[in-house]
Amino acid sequence: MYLDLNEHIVNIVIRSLYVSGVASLLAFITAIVLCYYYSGRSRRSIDLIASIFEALVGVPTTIIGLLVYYLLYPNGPLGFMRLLYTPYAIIIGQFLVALPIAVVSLIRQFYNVRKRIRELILSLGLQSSRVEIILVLRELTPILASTYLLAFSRCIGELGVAMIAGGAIEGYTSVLTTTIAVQTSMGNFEEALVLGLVLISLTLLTAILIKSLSKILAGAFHYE
Amino acid sequence: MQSEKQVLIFISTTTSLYQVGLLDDLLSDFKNSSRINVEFKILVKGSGEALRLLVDGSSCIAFTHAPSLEKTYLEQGKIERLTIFAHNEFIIVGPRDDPANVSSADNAIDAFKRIFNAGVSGKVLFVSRSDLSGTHVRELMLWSLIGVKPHGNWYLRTGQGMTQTLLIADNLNAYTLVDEGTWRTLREQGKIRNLVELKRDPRLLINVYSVYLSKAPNCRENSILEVAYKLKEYLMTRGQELLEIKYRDKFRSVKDKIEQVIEAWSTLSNIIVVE
Amino acid sequence: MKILVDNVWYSYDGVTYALRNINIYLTEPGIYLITGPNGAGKTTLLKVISLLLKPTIGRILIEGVDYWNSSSVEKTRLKSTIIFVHDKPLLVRGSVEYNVSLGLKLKGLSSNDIIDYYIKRYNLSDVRNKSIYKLSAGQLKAASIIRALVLRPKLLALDEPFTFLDNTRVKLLIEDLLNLADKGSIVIVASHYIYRDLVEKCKGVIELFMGELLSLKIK
Repeated sequence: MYLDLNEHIVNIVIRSLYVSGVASLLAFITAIVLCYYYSGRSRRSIDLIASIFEALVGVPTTIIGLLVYYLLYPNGPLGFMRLLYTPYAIIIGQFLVALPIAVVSLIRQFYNVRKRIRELILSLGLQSSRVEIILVLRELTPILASTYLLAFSRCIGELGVAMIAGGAIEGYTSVLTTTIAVQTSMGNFEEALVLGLVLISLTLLTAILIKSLSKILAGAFHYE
Repeated sequence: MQSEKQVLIFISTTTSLYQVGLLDDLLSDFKNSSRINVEFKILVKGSGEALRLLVDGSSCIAFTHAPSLEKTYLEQGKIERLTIFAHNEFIIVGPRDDPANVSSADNAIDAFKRIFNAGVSGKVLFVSRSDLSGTHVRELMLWSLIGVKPHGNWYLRTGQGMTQTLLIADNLNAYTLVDEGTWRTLREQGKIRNLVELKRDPRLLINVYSVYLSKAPNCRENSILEVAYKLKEYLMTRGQELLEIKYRDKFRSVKDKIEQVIEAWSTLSNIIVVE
Repeated sequence: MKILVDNVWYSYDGVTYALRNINIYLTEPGIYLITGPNGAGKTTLLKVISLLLKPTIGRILIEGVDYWNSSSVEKTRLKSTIIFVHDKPLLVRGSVEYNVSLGLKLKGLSSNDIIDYYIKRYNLSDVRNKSIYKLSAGQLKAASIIRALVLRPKLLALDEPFTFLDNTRVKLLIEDLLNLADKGSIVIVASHYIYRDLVEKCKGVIELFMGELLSLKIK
């Protein structure tokens, strides 16, 4: 089908993948570090942290977009960095969008698994935090994979941050969701629909890719 | 020239200028003819947001068409006008059978009165953009000149751009206020099935497009100012020719009648809109 | 290996004590049974002896060294020969073979022969490469016990090792435990099930009731 877009769709897809891929990866790694750090705490503190992040999951992406705008606009606290309306602004915003959901998805799992693994290591007459980390991550591999997927889907599917902090500049910060919005607002419903299908296929493809990758990864994570 | 560092300028623009393709044409023609090493990044927003970004310094140049808003920021000293560069008309469009009898109204105020009365009695629908865009501000101005505040089931707020609002009105067979450019573009694309042009009013429905420069500190660098003033010069000369050749049915140039257009702008900007 | 449990009290919540004033001195290799009704403190005592839990009050002396007040190097050394087997099998994602050899791998050892031997002995050859999620309760239990046996610990503590095991495997396990004791290890078993075989051949019986030591019989 011929798409009447000013920019080639492949460029938009690549930009979307890059921006959301980086943002979700950063959020994912941060979530792992946070969750591992807190997983040694008491059940109570875990519940508290989990409920805080659960509440943050509900913050609309437009609000996060506005927050990033106020951080980055020329007179804002980080205005000197000149990041507003760049792909980095979207990455920052999408990082904030994805972090809570990644933490929520992981924190209780980390707590439970780490408790078990620590008990296991002690029962085998060992005391090693390195072994503990490796075994915990190994045990959680399937959940880690689905968490990353969750973070990525949320990033690539969000509109608020990309629109407000990214500015939807053609050829520079426009991503799939903003292009869908812009095309819709121009009355080009057919183009918007095709882009929507592309977005859905991308999310599905990523899901398949990560699922199969996690199987390979689980095999590679054997402690030798 | 080539050795000069490239200047990066963010431009916020009202949607109508962008969607019709005029802005891209003007800016690339400006770059080609002036040979300035500049890159424009375009933020497509409603006039309200476009001006707000300009005030924040998030964009340094803005193309807008909301005189009363523009005037507010001008008086606050936050923006400066580069030039008024184009105008056209808003048109009242509505159902072919015209149940509110708008086509026989004396002027825009009378037309809106008829829509209001017919709307309140449940005979017609009106679709409003409600996004503080230039078109919306004009609509608010007309309601406030009649002294009414429209609300109720007949008055629909979309909060969306002009194209989408017009399509919604077309689907609902409702009245709406639309700028000439968008109206013609959509009709040429065959996307309008039900609505027809019902009323023009060159006095109250003139639509004035201006370019503004931000007074935020980050926009006062010499490199930016230089481009801005060159752009102003371009818009008033070569830009006007481009308007007349390529967009004559959608936008009119201000050549030879700049005084009258400025006059119209100040009349419009002085009408206080009560929301 | 000599173990002294010296005036040990243990509390999980700081209010009630699961163990009260326990004094036990184990010097000879052999199998020792911990018996008592539910809630008597069997598991707690077993974990305190295996150094998984730190006594709230009192000391645990391993080879004359106060474990909880020793240096971390000393701790690592003392702990490395003490293995505990949970009543609910604590296994990680992966195959039976991976789980069974985990202890050896973590200690940087590998001994395929011994693993082969035990996997055959406990009739796990068919499920050797299967994921633990596909195993029966008895197979899981056997795997978790084998993981401990292949390490040949100086002190092996087993919490309810016979639950889920069929009679054949119980017999094999008792044989293996006696064998281990013959080679100089201390084996402590906390269990509801009292197998006559085991009672006859064990070195001592520790009877607990409501967190206190009811009787301590050492042959």
